[in-house]
Amino acid sequence: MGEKVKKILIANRAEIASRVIRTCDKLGIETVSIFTEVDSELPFVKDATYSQCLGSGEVSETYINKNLILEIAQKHKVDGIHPGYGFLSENSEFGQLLEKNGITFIGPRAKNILLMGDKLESKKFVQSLKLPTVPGYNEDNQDAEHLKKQALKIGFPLLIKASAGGGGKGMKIVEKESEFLERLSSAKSEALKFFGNDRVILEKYLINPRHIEIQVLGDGKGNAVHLFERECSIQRRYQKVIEEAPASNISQDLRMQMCEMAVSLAKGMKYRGAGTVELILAESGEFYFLEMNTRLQVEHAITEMITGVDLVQEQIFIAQNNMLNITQNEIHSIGHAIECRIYAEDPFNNFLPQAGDLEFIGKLKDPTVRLDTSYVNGNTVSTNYDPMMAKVITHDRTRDKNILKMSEALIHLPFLGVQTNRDFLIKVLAYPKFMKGEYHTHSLEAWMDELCIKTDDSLSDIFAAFNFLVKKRKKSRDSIEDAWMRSSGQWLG
Amino acid sequence: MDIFINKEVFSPESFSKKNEEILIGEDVYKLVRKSDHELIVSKNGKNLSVYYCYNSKNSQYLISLGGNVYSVKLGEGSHSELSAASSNVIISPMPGKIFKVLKNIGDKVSKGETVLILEAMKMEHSLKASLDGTIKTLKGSVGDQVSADQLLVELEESKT
Repeated sequence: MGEKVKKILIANRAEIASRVIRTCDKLGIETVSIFTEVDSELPFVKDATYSQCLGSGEVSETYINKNLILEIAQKHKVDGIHPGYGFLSENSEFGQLLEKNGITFIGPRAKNILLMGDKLESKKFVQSLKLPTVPGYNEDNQDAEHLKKQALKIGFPLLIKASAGGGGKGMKIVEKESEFLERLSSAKSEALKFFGNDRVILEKYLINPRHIEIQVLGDGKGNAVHLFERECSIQRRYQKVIEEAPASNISQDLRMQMCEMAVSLAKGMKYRGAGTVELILAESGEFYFLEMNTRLQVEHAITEMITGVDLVQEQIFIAQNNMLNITQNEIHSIGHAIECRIYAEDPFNNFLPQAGDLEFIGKLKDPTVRLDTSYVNGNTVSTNYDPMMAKVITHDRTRDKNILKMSEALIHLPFLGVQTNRDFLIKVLAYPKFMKGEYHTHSLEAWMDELCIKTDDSLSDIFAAFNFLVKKRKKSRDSIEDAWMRSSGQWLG
Repeated sequence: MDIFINKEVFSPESFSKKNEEILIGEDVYKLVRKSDHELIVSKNGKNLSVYYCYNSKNSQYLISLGGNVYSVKLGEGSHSELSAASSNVIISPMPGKIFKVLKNIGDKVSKGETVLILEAMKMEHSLKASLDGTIKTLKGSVGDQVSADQLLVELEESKT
């Protein structure tokens, strides 16, 4: 492979751009990076064979400026564009624009993106394939008795949501049938007050749901394979923090049911490329389609670790050949993988985004640890873009061993100079319920108070280390350090 | 002179330095090796791996040990930057852009009331008064870029 595509432009930045470049290097494909002025020092710019500055300005004028990117692609005579995740990765017009100009879009076809980009249409499509969606009612008949009948069909507990709504307004949980009419009228009056429209929808309310997603690859002609699941329930405000594969505490039977469901969907829609079917898994073991992400995901690396499949390589192959390079029985899940996302944020201060000069990332003591990072030592972390600085990915034979491996890896990756969530991640890994694999999407919020206590049991050790540091700096021009040295007693040695 | 660890004074009950060693209580610390950003300190014979960096802008060390990063600096206990950061001023917690200014100079504010909204990383952050008072100075207007730790508002506390 690689005989057609010889040069790829990466329409993205930071760690994912570097990640795509790595695979291109492996395949002997030349790369073009595009970057804004604030990003000019980041490794993805130098990692590429060629790079071109987009100037400065809003994302709309730079990283998602379709015409500008097309112009650069033509100037560099690239054969394909990889969109990474975010930015233009799920923009159907971009793919069409490229194809029109004879450039391969390394992603799904426009019709795949459009279908899955529409919440209602995607749900209807999934239902048409007889695949499970969250039971609910979303029709125009708003008669109270009719709604009650629908509610009984769905079962309790259920949610009443304003159909124009969002942010929890006009949203009511109904625990049992007798509460329904009263909750309905208050949901309707809230909906009218906030959105000027009292139309509501009903949805089954799932207790302690888990976010499980299935990685798929499709050839665009109705063939598809799965690469098992990822468990992504450790989230804070819908932001994933730690992902693992395989998911804990689910039976092999359930795992295969979910994987097969995802494959049916990918086949049914003639999906092309790498995609992820997001499912919501209830305590009861029932699972439902949530949405499909028609792109490479941030957390794709854990799937690569358990299967040994390079997903970017597969994406490139599929985009140019419209066929799969791998069969289902060649794909095996081996061992356990975890990803921890390092964010520039302060967990001890409301997770406020942070900026600063990254002095020292740390050391990779274990060569099997994968560090996908946007930065090198000395880079400045700005607040212009996504606060995710790096992903640390580990793999081991068992989950227990792997959690230890990850903690150990993080201990040696302090990301000094910018406040990050690294310490917080280590605390999550050591949290008993996490260690047992007993968690769901609301768990992290519930553990938060315990996780956000600053540790101070090593203060004496820090005090000692500080004194050694000040001593070794002795030529310091800072009089304050000299003063400390004098006031705290002389070193005799 | 005090050592501030995570903005709080830390002074061990007893400590002494001798022959390249530091004694804190019963514990004996020795410097084994120092390299760029890494320090190996032996504590009662067991090696601890310590990572550090020094920020000359605020004369502060960042020291990472066992999965926790501590900020360490020297200062006088009475007028630490911490006390300046409290109560009668509002300091920007991070770099960003002023998105909204809700109060003017001379306005009365009560504790917890939002004075400014800062925008950073596409999120809005309300900056609130931490006491009842009157706005004495207000530096910055809508659209201004501000850096972290920049003084934005000074309040005059209401006398009760």
